[in-house]
Amino acid sequence: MALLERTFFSLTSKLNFKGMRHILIPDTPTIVIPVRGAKQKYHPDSFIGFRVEPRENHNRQYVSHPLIYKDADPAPRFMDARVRAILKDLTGCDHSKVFRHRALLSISAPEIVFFTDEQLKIAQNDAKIKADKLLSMPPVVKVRAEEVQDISFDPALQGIMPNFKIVFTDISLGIPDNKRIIVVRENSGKLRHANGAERQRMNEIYNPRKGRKHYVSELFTAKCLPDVLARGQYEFVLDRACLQFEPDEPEYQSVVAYVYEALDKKQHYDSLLSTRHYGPMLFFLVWHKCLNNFLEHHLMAGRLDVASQVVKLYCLLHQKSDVAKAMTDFRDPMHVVQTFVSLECMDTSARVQLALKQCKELLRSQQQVEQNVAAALGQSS
Amino acid sequence: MAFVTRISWRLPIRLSSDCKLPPVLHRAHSKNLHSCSSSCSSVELPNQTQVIRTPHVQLVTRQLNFQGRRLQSLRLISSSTCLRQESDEENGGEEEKPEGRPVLDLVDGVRLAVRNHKVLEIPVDVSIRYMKSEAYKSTYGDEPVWKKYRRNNPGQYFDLTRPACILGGVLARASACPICRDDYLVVDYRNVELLKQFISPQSGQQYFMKKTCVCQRAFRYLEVAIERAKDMGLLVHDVPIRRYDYRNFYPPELLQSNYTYVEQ
Repeated sequence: MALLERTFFSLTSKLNFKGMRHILIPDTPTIVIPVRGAKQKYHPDSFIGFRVEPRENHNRQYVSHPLIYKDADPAPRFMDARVRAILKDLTGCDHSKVFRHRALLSISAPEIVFFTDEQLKIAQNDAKIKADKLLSMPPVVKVRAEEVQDISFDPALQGIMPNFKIVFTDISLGIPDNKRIIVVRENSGKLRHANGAERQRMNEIYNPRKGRKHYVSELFTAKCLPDVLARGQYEFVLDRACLQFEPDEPEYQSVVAYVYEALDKKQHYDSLLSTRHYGPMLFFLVWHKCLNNFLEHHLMAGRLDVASQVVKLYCLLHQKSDVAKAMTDFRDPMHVVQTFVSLECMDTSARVQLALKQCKELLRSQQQVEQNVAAALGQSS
Repeated sequence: MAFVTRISWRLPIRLSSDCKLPPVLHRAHSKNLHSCSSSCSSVELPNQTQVIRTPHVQLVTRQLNFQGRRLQSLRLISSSTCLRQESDEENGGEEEKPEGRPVLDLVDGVRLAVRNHKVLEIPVDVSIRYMKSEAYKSTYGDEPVWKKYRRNNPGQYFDLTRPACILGGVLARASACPICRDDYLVVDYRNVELLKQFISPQSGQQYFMKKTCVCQRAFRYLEVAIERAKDMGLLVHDVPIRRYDYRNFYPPELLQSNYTYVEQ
């Protein structure tokens, strides 16, 4: 299929209609003629050229999930500076994980350099900046509307192409894929914007991206995805999803929600630490108020600071909730978590309350140890 | 005193025709030929004598000459256990071995299939079990299956290997490529253990033919299987990082560094 599309590129000589090329999406296999000029008329009988096959029908469908951002727009809350600061803080930056070797064809020999102190500082700062770039989060946006807008209706153009639709794509340089103008002229004479599937196909033809498949990858089907996630390969699936889809596509949000849900059930949050996906994952959990497992996991481990940060995030995202109103002192982590647990988790989860108790005991014992050590040192000195 | 022998160490000493299979690999040091007698019941080799002109051995030498293969140099090899039996247990005795002739000869820890051997059709799950079995371990150890294979290249350089080792369901080569020589190595997208051995950990690419010396057909099968396994997520690989420009997704007022959202 890719070979056919490449030959098409080379055969079309002139641009038609002000920088727009057009291509046919046939329903049945058909012959395509390259367009040479605006004045030339083409009749189906006089077509010469190569065959364009319709897309293969594997009967594969992407996995679907109900929890996508469709009603309220998450963008303003995601871009809130305080929210992003919390997400970045919780993601962490383990250099051994961020800068790990990725087997991506570019192999270079390691370089050993001698640094002075100043040069070392400069290099460390550069590494920080580079790590920040690598940890930049995939955008969290509202899902794209399914209905496509109509642009015009020209009854004079009815029936010019009996079996096909004509798709016009703006292939000018420098336009991102999601902003590209792609319109479809139907046989009825209606001119409309292209829908998601058509957009995806056109973008893949004119702007192929490495790693993005033009077919439905088996990884994202309901048959394969649970097995991959059961093996704990969450980051792999999320990276593939980022390559394959746009952030506003419902398929992307379904796949990503599926992964987050699986991760949440098994409490494998640490597998996404120091990756770019931790922030959106947390945002998802807080947005949909699925914090029971997260809090239980971190309170059992005694990580009260993480739990308090997440509760603060909850207050920022749900500013009119009871928790946000009842919160008086944000600086005391114990108070923050206690308020949240007493208001939100009383009915839903007894495990979180238990975990909070355990956390308190842990902290108390730690404090005791510290006091003993200080007393011992005090005695010795 | 060296025991003179015209046997090639690449082929095991043949047992008599009424001996039951599988044959044991007679890996004997040239000086300690008596050690192999302990593992082989029918061939009695006298201690510290120079005679290897037994009828069995003559059979071997004749076969060698008939094949016209060059004798390789003597190598130091140690005695081994009966490896074929374990592999029988692994496959549950699914294949039927011809009598009086081994299905796969064991030489230097490498299963070298002989020419005109009819290739067995092994299902994938058997192959997957084989990869974890004792027979595999003792044959290949921890190395990839192509590591110990040495291609009989006529010159110094080559780009492509042969088109195929198996023609008409039969091994058409005396020295088949690492995949074709072992019937139990099935190239399939589910057999991830095998596929991993043909992928470089540094670049994530499939090793080229020169390195692994598989035949062209096996190379293509591997390519397809690796691609399919990667697509399904059976083979986890490093994915290119997708960079996002936030300006394409958010309006300019949200992109300011001090933007805060207050719910109305």
